[in-house]
Amino acid sequence: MKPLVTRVLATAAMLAAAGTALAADNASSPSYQQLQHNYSTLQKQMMQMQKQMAAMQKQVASQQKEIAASKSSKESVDEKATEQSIEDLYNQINKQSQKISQMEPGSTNFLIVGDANVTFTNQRGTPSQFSADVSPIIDWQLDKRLLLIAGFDFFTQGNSGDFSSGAGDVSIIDLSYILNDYMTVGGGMFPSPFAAYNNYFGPPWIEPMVDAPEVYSYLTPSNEVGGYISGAVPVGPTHFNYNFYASNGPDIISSDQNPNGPGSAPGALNFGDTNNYNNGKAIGGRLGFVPIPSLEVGYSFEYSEPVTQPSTAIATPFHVNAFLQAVDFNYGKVVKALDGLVRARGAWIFSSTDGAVYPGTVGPDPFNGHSNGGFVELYYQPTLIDVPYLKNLGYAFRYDRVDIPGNNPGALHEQRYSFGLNYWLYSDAVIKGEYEFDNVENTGGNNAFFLQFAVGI
Amino acid sequence: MRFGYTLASGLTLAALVAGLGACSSQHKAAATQSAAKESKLPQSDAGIFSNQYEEKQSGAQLWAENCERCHNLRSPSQFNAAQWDIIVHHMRVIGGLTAVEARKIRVFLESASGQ
Ligand code: HEC
Repeated sequence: MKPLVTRVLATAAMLAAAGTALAADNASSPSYQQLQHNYSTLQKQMMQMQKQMAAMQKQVASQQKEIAASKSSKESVDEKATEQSIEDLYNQINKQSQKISQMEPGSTNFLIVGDANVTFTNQRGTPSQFSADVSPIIDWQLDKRLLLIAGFDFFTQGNSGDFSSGAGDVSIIDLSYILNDYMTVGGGMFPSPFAAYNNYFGPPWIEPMVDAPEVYSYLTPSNEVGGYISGAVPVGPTHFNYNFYASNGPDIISSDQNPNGPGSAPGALNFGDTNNYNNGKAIGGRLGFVPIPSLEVGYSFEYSEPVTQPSTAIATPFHVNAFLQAVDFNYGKVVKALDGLVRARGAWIFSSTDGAVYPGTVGPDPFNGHSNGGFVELYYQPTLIDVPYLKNLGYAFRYDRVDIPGNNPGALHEQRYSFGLNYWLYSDAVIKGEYEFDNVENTGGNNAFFLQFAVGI
Repeated sequence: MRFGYTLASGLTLAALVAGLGACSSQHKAAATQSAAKESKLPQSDAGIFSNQYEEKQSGAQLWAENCERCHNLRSPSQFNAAQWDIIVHHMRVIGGLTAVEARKIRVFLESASGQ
């Protein structure tokens, strides 16, 4: 840059000198011509230099532009990199905070729920006794659609809680997947949806009475081991729900080992066998209808082909057809007009097994099993009144009965009237008292008193 | 035996129909995806059976009315948001709640839990 400027300045100085000379001398003189020649040469040189300078300026400008451009692009790259790293940082922080929150007990996709109770039972004909039971249930949400429910039941046997004497078992293994809004598929071992007691009201903090209606000990399955499809479908302001299952199903008691126990005599269905004797599976289900949110009514069925248990009297095992049906209802609502919570629930179960001859048994041949039984239960608690203690106290009444027909050893005609009081410490902790009047045809019956302290976990 | 087969084939048919339902709801999934972002449970596909009755009701209302049918209402503050997510999933599977009920009740409980 410097030499160029010097050269320009020098040229300008020469031109100025020439100009002065021109003014001083006469234009026609030879020196003047010489000068003019010099002048035009110089002018040419200057113009050349001007061109060169313009070109150089152009070059410099374009270089500057390039530099600027590269600089700005570099800057934007830098900016992007910064944004990226901030985002990474955020992501990392998020991940870490998620990890931390996952470490908080119970706040992950894993939750321990369930129930526990301590019970005192005093029933005529059997020694009174204390017992205790804890049923932890793990709700394991593997995914927003995938849920594993694993339930365990641990209880006392007399004065012992020794597992080797049968004081514990697995009560639920239910793996389910929400397929879409209307259907869930699942399977494992789950409380039977049949007649909606075991799966809806089983836990002691849900059911106001201490003991279950008698019919559920004799005529219905309590668990299913199998697979199911279930779901709910809204229709206008109402909705339907369903659960259809295929399961191992019952077998039929054929031995004459235990001829006198109702429900365990020949011809009775045995739902809790630890063996599975045949390929015939039970197919069943329940269809529920919820016309208003506080009421649900249901119809259940279960069809199975139970085979006879191995027996010395029956050389070749045979099967019969068994068809169970039930209707049920469940209502629960805080009714303002009645100042409190009203519950009403009930179910009736009809069991029908084919007639068959069970050799070696006392009783009619063939034995024909058309049994039925059910319950109706009412509960009221004045939750809306402003009287301490009294508003925590609920009153329960239940009528239940079982009719297992015939003059056979397994026949049973039993009716019970139960009166209960529930005192709620919390919404999931209750002290229950119950007195039960029992009436069994021909034998009288065994009235019972229960006291129970139960919690939902 | 024949009765069993009839039932079994009926069940299979029901499963197939539901399977088709699942496939058709996949198409609608895209449309509801943006809405699905705010929801953790599988989003309602606004499918064939969806109706304005459920859509109109608030989560609090659905909770108060439906969750009292079988047992006492448990206070929203008893569990935190993550726990309610699991519990409502549990109740949906065992208690026959519809997808929309479950989603709205969960959103309500999660915010009402205060945690
Ligand atoms: C059809 C009956 C039914 C309805 C309706 C129902 N529950 Fe339950 N609920 C149960 C049963 C049964 C259990 C016990 C589950 C077990 O022990 O396996 C339970 C347990 C619970 C528990 C204890 C924790 C757990 O996961 O077991 C909570 C909390 C609960 N329900 C909240 C709700 C809420 C919230 C709703 C409404 C969305 C609801 N329930 C509706 C039957 C019902």
